[in-house]
Amino acid sequence: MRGSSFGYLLKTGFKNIYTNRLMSFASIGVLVACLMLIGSAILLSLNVENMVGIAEEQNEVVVFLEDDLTEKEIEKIGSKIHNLDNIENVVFVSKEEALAQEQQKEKWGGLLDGLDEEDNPLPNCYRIKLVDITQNKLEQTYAEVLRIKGVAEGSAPHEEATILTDIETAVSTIGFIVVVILAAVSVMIIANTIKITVFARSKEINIMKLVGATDTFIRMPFVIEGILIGLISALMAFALLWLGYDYAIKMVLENTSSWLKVASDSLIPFESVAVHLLAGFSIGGAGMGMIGSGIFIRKHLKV
Amino acid sequence: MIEFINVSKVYKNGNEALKDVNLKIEKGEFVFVVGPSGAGKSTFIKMLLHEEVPTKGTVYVNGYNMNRIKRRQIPQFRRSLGVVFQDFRLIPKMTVYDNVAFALRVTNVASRSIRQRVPYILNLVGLASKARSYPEQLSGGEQQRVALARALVNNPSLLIADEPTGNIDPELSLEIVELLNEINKCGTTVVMVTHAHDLVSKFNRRVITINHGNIVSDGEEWGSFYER
Repeated sequence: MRGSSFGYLLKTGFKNIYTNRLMSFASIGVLVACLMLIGSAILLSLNVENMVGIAEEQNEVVVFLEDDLTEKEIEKIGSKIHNLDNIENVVFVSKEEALAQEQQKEKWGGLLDGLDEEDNPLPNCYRIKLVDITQNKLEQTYAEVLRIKGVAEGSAPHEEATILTDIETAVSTIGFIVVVILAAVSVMIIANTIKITVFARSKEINIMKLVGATDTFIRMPFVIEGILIGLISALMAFALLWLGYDYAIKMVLENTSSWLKVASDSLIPFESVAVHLLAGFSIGGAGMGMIGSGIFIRKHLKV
Repeated sequence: MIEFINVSKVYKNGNEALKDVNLKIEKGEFVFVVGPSGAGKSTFIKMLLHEEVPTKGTVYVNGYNMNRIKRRQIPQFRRSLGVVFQDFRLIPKMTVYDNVAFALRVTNVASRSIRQRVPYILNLVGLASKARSYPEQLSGGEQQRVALARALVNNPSLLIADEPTGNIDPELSLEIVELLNEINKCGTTVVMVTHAHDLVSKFNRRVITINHGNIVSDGEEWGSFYER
């Protein structure tokens, strides 16, 4: 295809949007709304994931060691644990340290008063932080640790893992469904806009056929129109989402009584996802535009 | 150039538009096709443009077999012929110049040759001074000349005119046919479908008369289909 033809096609695509400006405006409006909802769903999922990550860091697996181990054996268990998958870090807490820590605790500390090294009932232990404590990973790693010789027993945050896993699954499933539905809606809206352009230009299309324009040439302006509508919507949705998100964060941080305050430290700043979101929106918008116009043209623009 | 061999066309609603038509139009001819409404003239034109294909028989146009032509060959085929219609089919929001240039733009012609070719053709049909006007600012005769310019700008070897004078004042109609006559003298085959008896009688040309889907006469005079 010639450069001049490409210029002509591009110009026609832009002109179509202007000629049908009311319809273009309406569909861009709805598309912006759809894309903003998609973006909100993504931002919400990211934030929930981030919070879950922080919650994960606060949960640890503790394993107690058998009492009659030598220092060397204890060290060997430590390095064995360290070599397992999914281990963030491992901290050794000796009997003495454990006793001292427990005695400091206000609630139960009194019960341990008067005990000393001789009759310390607490075992040596390893406190293990995991990278990923979603249910399956936790159970797997925990079982592996318990299998190490010299490890007597342990405790793991089973319940927390279940809850976190459920939250993550729910958020990502709902987020995915929302994105899919809205993307489908967007495609239909673009298809509809293109349909109106095609009808408005049916005479022109007929003439194009008669003077021997190829199918591709006739279809191209409509595809370009769809892509442009998608791209314009994507840019507008991105800007609005940025403003809205920053405003929402400001509200949370200022409103001290909000329970969200606890989580506010883990909120993701928009800047950190801006580039990815912009790229995603642009590709998504253009893609939906292409699919939307493509669907309609395949079906109705028999040339 | 054009050949119909035992061509019949039956539409889905059972209407038999053409019945076993045999016909040959040679390169460089000027042919009038006449007949009353519903005689099959429109079907005849549609077959020349590959808007309809015959139910039976074979149609050749410009060397293409209309039954066998492939979808992707159709644009190439249509570039080899020019068409004008009764209702002009100009694009109202484009100037005269753009309407003519349109036919070249959509067929991938370089901008430079568009800038040369369009003024030349507009000059040929006598509309060089109206290049910046819009169709609605022109008379019917002028609009038809724009349509003619658009049909000719691709330099086709065959020009098909479907009732080109149907919407034009009689005195301007003559101008249009004279223009077609001039074009024919330059070597372009012209097929003109018409109702206008007086126009046909002014030009001593081949006249094909169609009625009830049959060719009832083919010669240098109007067939007597009104009596049938």
